[in-house]
Amino acid sequence: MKRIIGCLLSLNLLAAGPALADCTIPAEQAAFDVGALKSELSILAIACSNQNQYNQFVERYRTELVAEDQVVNAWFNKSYGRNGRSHYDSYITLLANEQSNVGQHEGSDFCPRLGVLFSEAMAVPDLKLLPEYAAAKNLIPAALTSCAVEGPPARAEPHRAARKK
Amino acid sequence: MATRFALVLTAVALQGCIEKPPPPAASHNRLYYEDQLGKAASCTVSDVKVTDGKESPVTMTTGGGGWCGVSVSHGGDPYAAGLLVQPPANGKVFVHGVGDDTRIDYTPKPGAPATDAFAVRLIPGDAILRIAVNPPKPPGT
Repeated sequence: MKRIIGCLLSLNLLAAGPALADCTIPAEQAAFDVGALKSELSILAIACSNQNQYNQFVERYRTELVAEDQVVNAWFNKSYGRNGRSHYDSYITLLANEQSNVGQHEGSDFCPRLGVLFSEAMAVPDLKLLPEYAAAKNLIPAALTSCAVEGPPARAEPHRAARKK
Repeated sequence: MATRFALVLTAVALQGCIEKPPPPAASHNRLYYEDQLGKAASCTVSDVKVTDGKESPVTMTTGGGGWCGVSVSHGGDPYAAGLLVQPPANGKVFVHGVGDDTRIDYTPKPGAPATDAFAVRLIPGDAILRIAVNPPKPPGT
């Protein structure tokens, strides 16, 4: 069932046409990069039994993760208006699906090869540098990109009362 | 005579107990198949001299799609982490451990201009590599 939902989400996001370029605003790009890192680490935590390391990562960067997630959420609200939340949810699901697919492709190399992400992230000397570390990992799958709008951009919704007139 | 023979025999016997030095290892960190795939058809990188706390210029010439990598190491091991302090305008960067090295891969976006620039800070030591990307010269020039 999950796979079917994932495929439907993929079709919904990917069939709508070519994705646009990466974010033009660096702060938004940084937020998408950090979100992709968190998503990849959550997959590693589950697939490779790295829950303790994942918890340490979240504990160390909690403030930064929350702040960057708010930026991504705001981008979806800005781009899709009242549908922002559903597009955000779809993006998060598709991101995890795509990253998981890449992991399956790597087979038994996936856990040892990407497991170093935990120690690398914890070696970053300053919490504020997390976006620069995430940017160096290129974790957003090519099929997805960041700041990619599919379908028509958000428009100001006409008021129901005005529509009735 | 017998004593000398016994000494020689003992010496020969002890030869087998002397620990031979191991053959030089190609890499004591694991290499992954995935990291060997997709290299650009054309990829040359200038000599890289990493100095802690300082910036070093690097010139990369690449074309034909795929990644072109700059390899550096920190005392025979990969660096603990790499930070993309200046992102490229026309490509993607991936900093990762490959065997005993940290490899900084640059992959141009399809159809993007062939020149680019980016910078990576290496942890520990805070060395910064400023990498200029150029297209290969056309043949015959």
